[in-house]
Amino acid sequence: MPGKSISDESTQKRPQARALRRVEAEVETALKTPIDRRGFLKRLGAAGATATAAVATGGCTTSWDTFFQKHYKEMTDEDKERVFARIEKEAEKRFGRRVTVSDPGPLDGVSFAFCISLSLCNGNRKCVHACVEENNQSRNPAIQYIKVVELDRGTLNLEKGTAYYEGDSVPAADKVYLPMQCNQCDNPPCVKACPVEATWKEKDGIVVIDYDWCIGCRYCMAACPYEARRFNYREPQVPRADINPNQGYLSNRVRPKGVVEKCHFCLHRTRNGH
Amino acid sequence: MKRTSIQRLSAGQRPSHSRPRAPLLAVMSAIACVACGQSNASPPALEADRPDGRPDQVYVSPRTQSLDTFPCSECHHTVTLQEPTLPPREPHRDLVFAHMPNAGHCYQCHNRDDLDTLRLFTGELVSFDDTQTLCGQCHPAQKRDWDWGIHGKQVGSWRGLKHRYACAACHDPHSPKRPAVKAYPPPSFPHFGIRKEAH
Repeated sequence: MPGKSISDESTQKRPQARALRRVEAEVETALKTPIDRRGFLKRLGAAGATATAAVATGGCTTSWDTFFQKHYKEMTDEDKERVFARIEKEAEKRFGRRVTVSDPGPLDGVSFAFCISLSLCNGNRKCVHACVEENNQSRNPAIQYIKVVELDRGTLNLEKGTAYYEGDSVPAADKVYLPMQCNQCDNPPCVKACPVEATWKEKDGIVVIDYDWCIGCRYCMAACPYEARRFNYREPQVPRADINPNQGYLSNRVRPKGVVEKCHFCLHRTRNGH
Repeated sequence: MKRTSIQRLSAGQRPSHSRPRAPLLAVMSAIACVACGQSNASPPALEADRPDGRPDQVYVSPRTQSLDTFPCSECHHTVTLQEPTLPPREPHRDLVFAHMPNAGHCYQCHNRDDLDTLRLFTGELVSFDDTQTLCGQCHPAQKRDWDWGIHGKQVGSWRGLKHRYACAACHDPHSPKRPAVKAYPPPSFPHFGIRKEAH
């Protein structure tokens, strides 16, 4: 439930907030009372020390391990094991669900492609919502990888198309539907735009993102010609019951706030043959 | 008679949703090998992509099992109209016929002598599990796409057992056009977005 996770967060942050309030109060009283410079600094130092201690004992959300986590490609097997275990623990703490995080690698001699028959697509958006459920995407604010654009029949003029059509009865007369998501380009501009190499193209053609390495600059979103990338402006909210426990490190684990995500070809399924 | 390159499991076998177990696989690949020797009509795209060189196994959802409870012959062994009329009469009154408006009668597809089977134009009999063969007589392009896994719904594993739905799983054979549906809700419009009409 979203309510539970919010309360979890607030309990986590409480000591930190209390310490900050104490520092504020100290500074306020110091400013109000007439005091010499040395006395003021002494008091401020004491308040600062209290705050630091409080933060170090439990208020901090970024652990040592998280901060010094390596880039996915530089992780050894032990690193991966430790990181995945931490992510699983965090997920269990936040959602109360036991999840498994894995990273199936690219298969030899396999490269992935997908086809969409535009003459068959009737624009019912079921794929959009199935994708959301599979990939633990944020429900509020809603993040959807697939965008179904309604176009006039006989044109592919995207300027005149809309993704926000109300489909009371689809397919509508004289309309065609174009589902758009990441095309896993052979020469991906988003990968070139990334300043920290947090996104790259794998051997089997899938363009993936290391969510823990992404700095959230959104250059890749500007570079993508297909509007395929989405940004987590807020902490993703996924109802507890809707969490998909089969998670991949590079694919559908619940994303942190402030990182970019996109279609990853469901690599936790496709690379296992599903 | 085996008319397609597709392997159908025997009635007792069910597709497992996990990875197929080794004995089952062995049995199925043995069947597949025999069939490949007989038929050269298998689509090339599927087998070329196999990393381990084994042919694909496709399980097509059977339809005869739904006839077990009320077989057509239950009534039709006594009453079989020689010249049935369209629209169909009393017992089949709920049946909407909107397929090929010039269809003469039921027996272009149904077998007049044994209603539990279907009849091709050549006079050959096929079971209700082989509707794709029947439909493919008039819709060869769709049949070819279906054979290649392009048309129709296919679930299961891309490198193991595929589960493919036959024509009649999605299309009502008597009125095959898919009805209009209600779409899922659209994404919320961006907070500071400007609608295209407002430009």
